[in-house]
Amino acid sequence: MIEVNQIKKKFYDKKNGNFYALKDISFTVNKGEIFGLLGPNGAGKTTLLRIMASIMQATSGHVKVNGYDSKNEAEAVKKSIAFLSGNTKLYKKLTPVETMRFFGKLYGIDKQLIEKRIDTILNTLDMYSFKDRVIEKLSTGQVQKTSIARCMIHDPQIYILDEPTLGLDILTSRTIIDFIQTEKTRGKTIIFSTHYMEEADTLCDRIGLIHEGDLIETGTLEELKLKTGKGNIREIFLSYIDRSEPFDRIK
Amino acid sequence: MIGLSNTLIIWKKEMIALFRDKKALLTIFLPILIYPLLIIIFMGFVNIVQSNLNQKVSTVAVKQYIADELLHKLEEDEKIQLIELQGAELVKEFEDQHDAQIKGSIDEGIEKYTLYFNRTIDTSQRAAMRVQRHIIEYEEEIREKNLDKIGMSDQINNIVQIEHIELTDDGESRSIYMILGMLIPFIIVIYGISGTYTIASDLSAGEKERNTLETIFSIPIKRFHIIIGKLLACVTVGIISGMVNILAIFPIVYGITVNIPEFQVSISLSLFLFLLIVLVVLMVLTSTFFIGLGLLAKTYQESQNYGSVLLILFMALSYIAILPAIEISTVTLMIPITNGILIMREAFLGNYTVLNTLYVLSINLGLAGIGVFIMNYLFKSDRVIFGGEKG
Repeated sequence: MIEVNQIKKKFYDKKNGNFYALKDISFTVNKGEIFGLLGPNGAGKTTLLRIMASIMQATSGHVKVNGYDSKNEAEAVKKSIAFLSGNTKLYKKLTPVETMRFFGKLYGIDKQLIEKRIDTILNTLDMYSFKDRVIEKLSTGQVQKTSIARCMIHDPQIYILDEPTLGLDILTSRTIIDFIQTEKTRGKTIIFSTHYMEEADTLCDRIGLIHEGDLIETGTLEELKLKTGKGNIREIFLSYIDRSEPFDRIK
Repeated sequence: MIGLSNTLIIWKKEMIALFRDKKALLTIFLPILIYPLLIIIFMGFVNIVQSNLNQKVSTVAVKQYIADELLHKLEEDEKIQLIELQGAELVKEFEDQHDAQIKGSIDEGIEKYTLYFNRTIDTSQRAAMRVQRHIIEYEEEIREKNLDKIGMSDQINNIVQIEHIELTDDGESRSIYMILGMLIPFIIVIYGISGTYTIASDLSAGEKERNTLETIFSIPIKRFHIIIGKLLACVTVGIISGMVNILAIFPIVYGITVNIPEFQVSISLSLFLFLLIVLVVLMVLTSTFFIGLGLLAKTYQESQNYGSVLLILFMALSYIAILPAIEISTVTLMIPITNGILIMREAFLGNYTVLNTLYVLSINLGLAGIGVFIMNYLFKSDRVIFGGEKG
């Protein structure tokens, strides 16, 4: 479903000059799988997911999503996926219904189908009470539900979620986790990044450990446990990375 | 077609967002309320001051010799009250006692009058003017009498005759047209530019700051179509701002038409369309550069700071067009924005020169094209859009 092949991404910054945020990363994600990218802040998770979602271009290497090349067939890739992150904020002056309608139109969905899907999504996510209120007047939880609704409007095959629960309270995080689990039962492929170890532990079929732009290991939780001899994901992660890494960066 | 449709969807969304933003609406539509109010207050104030000054009687101190005929004229004037200074000296600081002083004498048969007044005080200046008017009138009458005595009145008075022939049918109207023709395009363009400046930061850096760019980038629409949608929104706001300000000054134009019978304003549809076309082109030009610059900024405020430099430049180009003696020439036709205002002014006078118009539109559109290229390049650049983020 997703093939990431030798991806490198070079950035320039005034302090350090040119540096690689991603260094030769390769892995695959299978259909219907939940794949978790686990790593501390600044590991390269966001950059990698942006490249997979065709939002950013890799310096070298290529990514195939649902059979489409993320660089040369960006539009086809974007039609197959939904991308959600802490940075994918919504337009504050639109209502949830207008937001779904706006994105539905841009996905090229037929008007009648858009209205039908809006109705289904409002029902599924229990959004009727605030569907016509502008987003700037909604609570964090209601905004998060609207973000999910925005992702669901074109019924994508793949969800790419970048730290979707970052900074959210327990109840709002629960909405996201429930959404991921529900979509998995519908056969959707989900790749998400997190630095919350427990989240990865609970949700993921397979995990990729990313650190300083390198993908240091991939596998199921059981495989990783066997390889490292450690009992939980936190210890597994620490056994792979430099032990001098400040522990408080890995929650 | 899909590209155009997506661009229009983006444009519509931006316009909805704008019309729900009370602050933005206030900025755009406030002039409609403010201008007429300011004008009414200002005109009222000026009228009151003028009326008070006109009604006030000027006290004028008279010293020594004043010809009887002149004295009679001054005494007959209801707005002048004479105070004779018998033996008293003229003083420099006289404001508390009277408004002006006149001292007369005869020197070798010539009547000589000295007028003392304070130019910085309205009442004093007015008193001096009233007295001076009578002195000039008196001098004219004496001259006429003297010339009549020697029978030379006609020869002296008819040495040169000047006849004014206005080439247009309505010379008076034309001069007012010229003023309005200069004023209206200038106001449309100036306020249009201000409108684009205000909204461009919100559409570029503002969206970066609100983290909504990544959302729109994740959907299957070309960045070019997104940025063109934003550009359209910016241009629309510029046109609305310009037009709103014209509506705001409409009461003044109406006042002129009512008070000056010779002046018949008839803004034709073709003139309106012409102004609109030129305005659209100028707004496209300014919007592209404002948005492009805004994309380089990280925050709305930063974008406003960068944009203010550009705003000064655009304003300066607009002001050139209303400088005295600035006309359409090979040089002025090459100056962007200035040339637009100049051809708008000519259109007001009924001069539509196709070649000049095409030339002006080409120059401004050419620059706008460069602006679009830069704007699109920046919008596609990961470094510009995601600059500081290396997650």
